[in-house]
Amino acid sequence: MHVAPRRLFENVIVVQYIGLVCVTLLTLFGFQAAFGNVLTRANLEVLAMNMVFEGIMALGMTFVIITGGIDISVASVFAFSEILVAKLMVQAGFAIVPAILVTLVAAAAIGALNGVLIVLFRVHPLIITMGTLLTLRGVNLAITDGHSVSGFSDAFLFLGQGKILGINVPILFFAGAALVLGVLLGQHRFFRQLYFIGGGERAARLSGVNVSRVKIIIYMLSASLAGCAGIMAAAKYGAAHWAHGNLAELKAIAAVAIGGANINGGSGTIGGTVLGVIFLAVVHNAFVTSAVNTFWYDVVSGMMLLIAVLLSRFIALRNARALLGLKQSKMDQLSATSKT
Amino acid sequence: MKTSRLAFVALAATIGLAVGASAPSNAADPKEHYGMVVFLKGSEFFNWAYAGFQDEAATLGATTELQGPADWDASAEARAVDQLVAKGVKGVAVTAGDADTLTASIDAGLKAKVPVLTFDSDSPKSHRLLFVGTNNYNAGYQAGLAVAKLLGDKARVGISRIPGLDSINHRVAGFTDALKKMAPGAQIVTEVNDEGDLQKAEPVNTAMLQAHPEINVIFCGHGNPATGALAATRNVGRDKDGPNKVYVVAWAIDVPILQGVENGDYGMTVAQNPYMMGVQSMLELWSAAHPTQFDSMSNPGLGQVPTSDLDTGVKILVKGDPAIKALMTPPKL
Repeated sequence: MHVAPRRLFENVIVVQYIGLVCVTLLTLFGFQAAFGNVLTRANLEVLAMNMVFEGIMALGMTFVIITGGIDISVASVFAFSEILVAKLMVQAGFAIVPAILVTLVAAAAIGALNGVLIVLFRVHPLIITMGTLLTLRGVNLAITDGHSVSGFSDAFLFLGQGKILGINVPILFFAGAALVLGVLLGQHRFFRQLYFIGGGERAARLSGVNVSRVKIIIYMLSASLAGCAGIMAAAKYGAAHWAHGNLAELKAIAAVAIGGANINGGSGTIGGTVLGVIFLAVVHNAFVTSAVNTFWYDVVSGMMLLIAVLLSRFIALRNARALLGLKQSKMDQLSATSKT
Repeated sequence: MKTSRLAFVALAATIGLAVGASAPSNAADPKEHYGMVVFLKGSEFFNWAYAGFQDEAATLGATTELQGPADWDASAEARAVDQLVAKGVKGVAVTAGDADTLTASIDAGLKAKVPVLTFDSDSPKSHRLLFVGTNNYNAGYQAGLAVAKLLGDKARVGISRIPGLDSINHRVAGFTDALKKMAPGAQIVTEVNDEGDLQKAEPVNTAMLQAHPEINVIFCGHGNPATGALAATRNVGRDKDGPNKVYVVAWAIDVPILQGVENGDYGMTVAQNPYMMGVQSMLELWSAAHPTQFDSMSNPGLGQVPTSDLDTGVKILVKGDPAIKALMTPPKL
């Protein structure tokens, strides 16, 4: 009777989830008790909106990281999508829906390019996506001349500023996307393959998984989600600017890692990433509500990331050692049985 | 398992220590609290502005905080404004990293009855109370007067600038008008595009001086080209005092430029006053947050503030000006 809960608690993911939830709640209620202005409706709305675009990017990043990859181009895809949808509507006279569709196709194409280059040339994803990041950043600057693009219709602004049942549209999108992608990752055969690839690409390939195809699709998904975030950000701010979302890729990666994903691939969940996003949003909010110099925010986020990764690594090593011990004892049992 | 629990406790303690250690104890503090939001947080210019904001708040018995990204991301600024408004500060002064991106957040703040103004960089499409900063035409005019005083009708000016920017257009217009008025014989010979890049400023200004040897003043329309323009005068051997010297008029208060003015390398520099921007921003926010017996006509429910822009002016700094020494000492925050 005592074995099952103990094993459950030993589980890496559960330990990290419980830890994250506890620390997040401690921070939230601790700062509410100290400063009294955290659990207000206005502050909670701002808290949620503060990380929502990075959160949407983090959902796509989760898939990439599970496969053992990384996509640091998401921030520039985010800004590019902002600019493209804005230019299509404001300067080229596109209606909202076609402008959004063209933008999403363009974002997915960038993701496809990332994926193709990664699988075709077998170059580390960090290098390929860094190249895309820098190239797109230059493109964003060049096509806007450093200026912002604005002048959207109210219908488009609704995508970033509107509310449905009192909840901001981007938050609803994030929640919906997290739910759908979380279920797919947990249940769907295609998405289960990501864990095989992240656990060992060669073994996955030998097991019949079309690794190249899966990887390309995952980078397309990551870029498409960054594109969605960019479109909603343009609507939220009423303007598209080349510098929007600067360093968002690092926040997205941090959220995934804090959420318990192994940065080397093979593990990670959408639920963990959502917790990582909420944790980062709460810590940032705590800094503002307490009027602490926000420079310290990066210090704390960085330390949290380090601790989360080290904790995950430590428990994974311990589990691997336990597994080895279990194998050894089984082998001992087998050899003892064969002797008798 | 014990180790895991210990690690978790360490995790919780880290947040507590890191945040708690530097948190001001304003839990039961009845003082009014105001926020300033900047882009490029940590830059010298905005440190001066925040020092002014903070110092003025101290004289009024209020407290302040500085928010905003350390990079040029206006969307992060917009979120910082939203955050301060949700927190319930009494007023927000924001410098717009991008004019349009800040519009919605500024308007949302005012809708929530939190006074919001812009300083240094404006967001003119928003309903901000007012803009506190340098009037670029007036600043350019002051520079023109100084050049007219220095060289009179003999001034032959080359301008290093980025084309198309309103702020620089206004500066050049003011400079040209002052020169026309005070030294009608002076001429604007040509303009070059330095693309806002100090490394590009050197070759384009060198080429300009070679093509137009009559030029004896380079007027820098913004902060970046001064170093490159000075290097250009060296390249053509016209940096030393004498009849052939080319005077560089800089537009910056960075320490190397100030040092250069003090050494006589630059003819002068146009010094904006970010400290004053901070002081005036705080005063206007305070006034807006304290309605008197008559409401503001343009912002009912708020106190009296001017609706027109507030020009914090510039000082033309030349060698020996005591303000140079003061500006070379960074403010305490």
